[in-house]
Amino acid sequence: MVNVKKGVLVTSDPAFRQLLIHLDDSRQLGSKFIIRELDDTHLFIEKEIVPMLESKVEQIMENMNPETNDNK
Amino acid sequence: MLQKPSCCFFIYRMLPPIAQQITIQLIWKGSFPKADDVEITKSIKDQVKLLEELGIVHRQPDDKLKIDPDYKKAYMYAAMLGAASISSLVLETNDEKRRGKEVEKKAVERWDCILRYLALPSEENTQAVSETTRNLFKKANFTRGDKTIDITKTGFQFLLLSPVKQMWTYVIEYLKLEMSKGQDIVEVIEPLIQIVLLANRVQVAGFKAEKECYRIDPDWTIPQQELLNHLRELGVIFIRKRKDGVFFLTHLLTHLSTNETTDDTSAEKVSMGKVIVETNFRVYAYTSSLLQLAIIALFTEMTYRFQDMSVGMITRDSVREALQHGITAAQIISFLRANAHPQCIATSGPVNCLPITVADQIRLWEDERRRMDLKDAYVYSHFESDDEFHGVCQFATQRGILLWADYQKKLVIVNEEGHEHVRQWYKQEKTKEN
Repeated sequence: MVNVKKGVLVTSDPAFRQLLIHLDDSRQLGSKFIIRELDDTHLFIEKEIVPMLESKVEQIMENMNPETNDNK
Repeated sequence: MLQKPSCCFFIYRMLPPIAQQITIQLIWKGSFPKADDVEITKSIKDQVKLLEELGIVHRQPDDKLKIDPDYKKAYMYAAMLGAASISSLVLETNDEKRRGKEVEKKAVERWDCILRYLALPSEENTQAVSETTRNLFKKANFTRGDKTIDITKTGFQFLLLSPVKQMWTYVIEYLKLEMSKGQDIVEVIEPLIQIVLLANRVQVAGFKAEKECYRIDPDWTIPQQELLNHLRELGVIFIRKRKDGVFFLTHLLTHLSTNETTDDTSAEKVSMGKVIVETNFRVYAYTSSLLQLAIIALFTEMTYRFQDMSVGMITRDSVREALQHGITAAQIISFLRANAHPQCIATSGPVNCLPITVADQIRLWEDERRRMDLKDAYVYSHFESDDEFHGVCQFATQRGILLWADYQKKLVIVNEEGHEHVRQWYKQEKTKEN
């Protein structure tokens, strides 16, 4: 019998995918969320985690991005 | 509703040109000529379908089209009398005492007030609009939050629409709100139509809003009175004091009476266009309109504010903030282009009036937030056979619902809407096999 699972398909660049896998491995969001690692640019993840993941990613990207805007 | 002359005339006016033609031909000749052009025939068919859905045209058993007799009668009646008289609102002579002052100016202020509330939800602006409007915007998903109100993506898009579309959107949302309360909207639509039909009078040259007033029918029910109050808030009509029992028409009414397809933007283009964006991300806005400034302030950091011009700065933070509100880079860019100063357009054209560097940077700031693309989906795994896998794959590709597939791992991912299709298809295949 065919298995069906609902979730979210994530398309990203390979580097970003690694970050997601790291987040998954280190359980920074409380639990594992990746259902399947598809290929270099695709992941299949839990739907429930998405809002949390998005804010986490936002935060990480912000930390890695010092204010470069010098034309202020 | 089709039996009412006022309603039927109103519907006729709102129809697209081809449908109007068909209606007229059917009323007077009982038939309409066939077009030779395939393209036109197709568009005629669509319009006929629309008319059928509206119940204006009936298809008879022998496939001939016939106009609804009630509609025909009502239309003839309305055409004879003219729009103003069928609206059956009583024109009152205006005495000096009741005369409204600066009706037009106040009308525009009213409308600006509403838009300002949306663009700049402060305490003061919140008080300027009625409770219903606030509810309406929330229901329509233009704002969110209870105490501190935030503009949403749809809300911002609303601000960027032309006045005609804005007004209709507002009225439609209002009717929806009434419907959700279990209100019978036919009752409310009637006075609305009556008032809109009077718009012709406003367009007549030499029209003075201050001079003409119409009696508020004391028989109107509470919901109908409510509607009147609402139109007043929109600035479409003007009521000086409720006990006067009269209302005035304003120029804003023409927004409601124009057919959306013949959206006239020429007038706006003259009045708009006061924003200059420099390559160093500075924004100069030559306007004193709080509303325009509020919209610009959504994605710029305002630095100076003078009497008739303001200076702002597009920064990474300010754009990011707008993006977090769900406003897209494309919306910001198209807004800046649409409002570019005529001189900018003259020197660098309608697209490059916004410096390319700025447009690109805004897009880059957006892309930076979009490192991942998320799509709700369903994954299928553990297929029983290769054929089954290929079957699902093929079906999904044909339907255009396939997001991802891997032939080695035998995984198929389809989008959310596609899941139901695949399920049904799969069931069918199974029964075929057995």
